[in-house]
Amino acid sequence: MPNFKSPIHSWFKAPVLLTALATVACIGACTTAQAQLTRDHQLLNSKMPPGIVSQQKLMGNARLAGHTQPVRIIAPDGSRVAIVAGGGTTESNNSRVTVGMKAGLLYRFRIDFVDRETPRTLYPSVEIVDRLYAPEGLENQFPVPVVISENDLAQASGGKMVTKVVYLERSESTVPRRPEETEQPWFDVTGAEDPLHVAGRLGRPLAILRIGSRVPTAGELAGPSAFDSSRPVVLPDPVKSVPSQVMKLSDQPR
Amino acid sequence: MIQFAKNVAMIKTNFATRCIAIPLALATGIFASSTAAAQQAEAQSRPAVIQLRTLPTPDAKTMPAVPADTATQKNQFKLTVAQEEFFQSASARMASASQDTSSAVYLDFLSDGDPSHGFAERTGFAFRDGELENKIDNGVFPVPLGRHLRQKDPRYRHNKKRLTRSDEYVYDGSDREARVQVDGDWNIYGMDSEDTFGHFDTLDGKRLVSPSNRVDIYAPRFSAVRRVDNMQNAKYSSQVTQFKRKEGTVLSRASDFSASTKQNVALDTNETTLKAVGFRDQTRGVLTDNVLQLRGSRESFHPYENFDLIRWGKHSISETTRLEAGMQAANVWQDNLGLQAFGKKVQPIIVNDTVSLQQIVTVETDDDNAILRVTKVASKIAARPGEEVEFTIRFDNLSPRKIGNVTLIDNLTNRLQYVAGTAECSIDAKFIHTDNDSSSLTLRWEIDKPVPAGKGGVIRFKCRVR
Repeated sequence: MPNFKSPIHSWFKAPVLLTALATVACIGACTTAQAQLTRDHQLLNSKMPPGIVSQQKLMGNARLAGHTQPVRIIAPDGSRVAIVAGGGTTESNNSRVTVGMKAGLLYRFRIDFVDRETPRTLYPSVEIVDRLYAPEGLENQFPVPVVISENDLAQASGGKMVTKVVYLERSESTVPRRPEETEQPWFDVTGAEDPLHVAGRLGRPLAILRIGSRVPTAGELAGPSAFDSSRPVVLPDPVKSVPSQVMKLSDQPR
Repeated sequence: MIQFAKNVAMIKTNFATRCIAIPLALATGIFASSTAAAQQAEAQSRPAVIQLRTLPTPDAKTMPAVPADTATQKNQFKLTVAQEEFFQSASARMASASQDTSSAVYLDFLSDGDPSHGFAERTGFAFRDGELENKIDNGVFPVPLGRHLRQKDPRYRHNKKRLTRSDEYVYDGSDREARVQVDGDWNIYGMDSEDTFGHFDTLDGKRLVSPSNRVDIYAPRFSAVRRVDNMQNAKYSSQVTQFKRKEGTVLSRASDFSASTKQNVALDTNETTLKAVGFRDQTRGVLTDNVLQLRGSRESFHPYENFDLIRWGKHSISETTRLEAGMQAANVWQDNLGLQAFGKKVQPIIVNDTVSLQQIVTVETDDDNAILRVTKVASKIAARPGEEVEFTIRFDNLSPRKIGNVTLIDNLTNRLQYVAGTAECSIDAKFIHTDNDSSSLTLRWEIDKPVPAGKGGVIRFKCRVR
């Protein structure tokens, strides 16, 4: 019996096979590329030079443009916080200052404190990476608190670099705690982790605080952009809200 | 027994549709057209100050007993002996009055003299996981009725995608996520954190649930993540070398921060210190706030409760703006502006404006369906951790019939801590609080007596933001 084979059948068979092989190859290549794309790689990190993360965030978020975010710098009691800008520093005898900052700029402060009976001066920097959306009229009553603890100052005085990322907690995953203005909960991450990324997983990063031990020279401070810093808007301190107390009419003093 | 209840309901339905069309229309008209007039008259007769009673803190003895095993009976609605007698007498009276179409007979049948007659007895309660199956046939189905009828889907979760959420706010109220349902054995299903609702019984054997509106309080909370780099350990790295030679500093800052020209521009923009002038005005307001000293007005309405809706149970359009305080901040968070849900049908109408922070849920009805309106307001729209916020819940029976076993429940979120001893209620109620899964409390008010048509009450309590 002759081996009959249709010419149409043979013509159709080869391209179909080639097409199937090409499809499988494409799917494999795409899967590999997809796996590479899903790696945990983030564009920004806290090791970037001060101000870069803020500038990148400003370019990616139109709501940051032109917005002045109130920030409250809270240093340990007994220290003095001054603003470094415009070739000089402001006079200050207070350990807390409330300022308005804009994204894309770097702000620097001078903290005078006493570490183990030794007067020291550090120049921490703060940059804003996101903003708050407070109800109208209450923006200044809810600034972003940047708390500088005694441990932060001690670490920086010892020659170490302290990078602290302040983030907004998610309301649903917060742990109840006693509120204190001078005590902001924080935890350390290892050198292999980036605090900006860790804060992004836990909430919304708002500000990056960097404290090093380097003291600028007189020439650096005297420049118009002293130590790469901008001048923030000085704001009044938030008003302490009176806790609502119910008092019987008979309890009122006469 | 259940079949008997169904028969009674069917008899009553025929009775209502065929024989007492006029009374029903009158009953509808009483509510639909003269609600304002009735409430106005009621407002005139009602004192301006509601005497709120401080409820005692419960102890273990007053806690209701939880049924040991309700798996076999949880889907059934139990009739008490009194309720059975009531239905028997009611059916007999309906049979004798079937030819009488006067409204007096119909309303007399509804009231029946005894205020506690016709409702099941409270036997305790329990919180169950999961969802209750659809119990419309059993007469146990959830509210809002209007939403169900409008969506035509009993599984519709009304606010799962409606209300926007922000990580800067603390929310309390409404029926979040899973739909709250209560079965015949007082088991509560689908109660999530933040849920605030009321459930009640009707004379025709239904147990309904009415969620409240949502209250939003701006209360951001902050934490920090720190990393300490030891420069001594890394001094052999290239970065440290550049740092010592100041090459790294020159390279990075001279190049990247040549944008320092922008910083000069920023100095100009900081001429917006004009805003500081405005802050002085705000400081003046604070001084005025300190002078007020009106916080001693216990047993009366507080300034934040000064709404007709809270005082008289009547919503005025002119107060919508005040209730929507903080709306602009919410607009930042959502793209879909405007009225989120609007519907109008024969059945109860619910206009749900979810744009505002103080969500307004307006309920109207033009028939005799039982509806419990639960309205919630807070004393502050923003609070820092540690501050106290006072909540006020106003509940009203908007139906022409009395409703019984009215129970108000507020499942507090983890950011709110109930201040002990601050629960108050304008009418007799039993206050119970139990621990919940959010490390906070579930507050429960069990109203002792049935709530007559058009009547309601006010509940107050305080929470500390944490």
